[in-house]
Amino acid sequence: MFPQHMKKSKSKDKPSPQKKISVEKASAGVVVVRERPLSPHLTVYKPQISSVLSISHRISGVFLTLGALLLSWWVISIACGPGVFAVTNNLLDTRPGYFIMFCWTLALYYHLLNGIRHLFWDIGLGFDLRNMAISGFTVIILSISLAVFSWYYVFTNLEIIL
Amino acid sequence: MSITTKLKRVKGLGSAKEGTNHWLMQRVSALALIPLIIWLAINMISLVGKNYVQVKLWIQNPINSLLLILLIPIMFYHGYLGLKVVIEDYIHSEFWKIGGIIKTKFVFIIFSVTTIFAILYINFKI
Repeated sequence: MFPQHMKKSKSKDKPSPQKKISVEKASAGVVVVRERPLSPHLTVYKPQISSVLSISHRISGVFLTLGALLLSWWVISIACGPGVFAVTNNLLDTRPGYFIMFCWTLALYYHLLNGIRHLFWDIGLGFDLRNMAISGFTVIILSISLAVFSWYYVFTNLEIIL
Repeated sequence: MSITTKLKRVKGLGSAKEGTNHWLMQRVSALALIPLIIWLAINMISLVGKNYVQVKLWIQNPINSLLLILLIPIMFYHGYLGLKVVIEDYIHSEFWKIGGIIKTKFVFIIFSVTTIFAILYINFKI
């Protein structure tokens, strides 16, 4: 039903884009049927500030829902009593615990700041390429410095509390 | 061929049958979360290293209780709206897609209701 070259494109061993180009050059006139890329087109584009920040917004959002579950559990463990709270506290009061809490802080600041950036776009502000790049880099720098500052504050004040 | 006017077609709810509701609610919940999450971040930083009694006292403060009860459902609602889109985008099997969305909804509702109950329990336990 289909010509031979169209059947070939459906086979599992897809040639890499570079190979395909060489095939096209070698035999001009032969129609190479490429499989249509399916959305989200993450693999066919060179990473740019807009796309990297966009996917980071998603990843940080998904990561933050896990943080939301932990925040919930932390409140529930207080209601459960000192024993359960101690278990939660001891789990968080470890090196991996602090590492993951730092990641959550960073994700929170990033998602918050980039979310505000998205809200400005929604009302039609700062959507041109120049301002998009400026606000993008501002968000990166601000979220990292806020996360570092927060935990610097925690560790310098922890000695007073303990 | 549809007999509806172009305006009616534009004003309709689109293929998802929910119009711009999801998009709008994501923005509205985001707007509500901005002050709440800044408040939470500041308070969480001040709570690191505190013991059980100090943390319990913090929750028993009526303002903290109230803001937490406001924050928790909006946070989970916003998280649900976001995860729903992510699931719809990356999971192509209809069974796992619908299953994932329903599971997310159940888990988030259970967690937010339990957390609100926990806050009330901490405050009003005799």
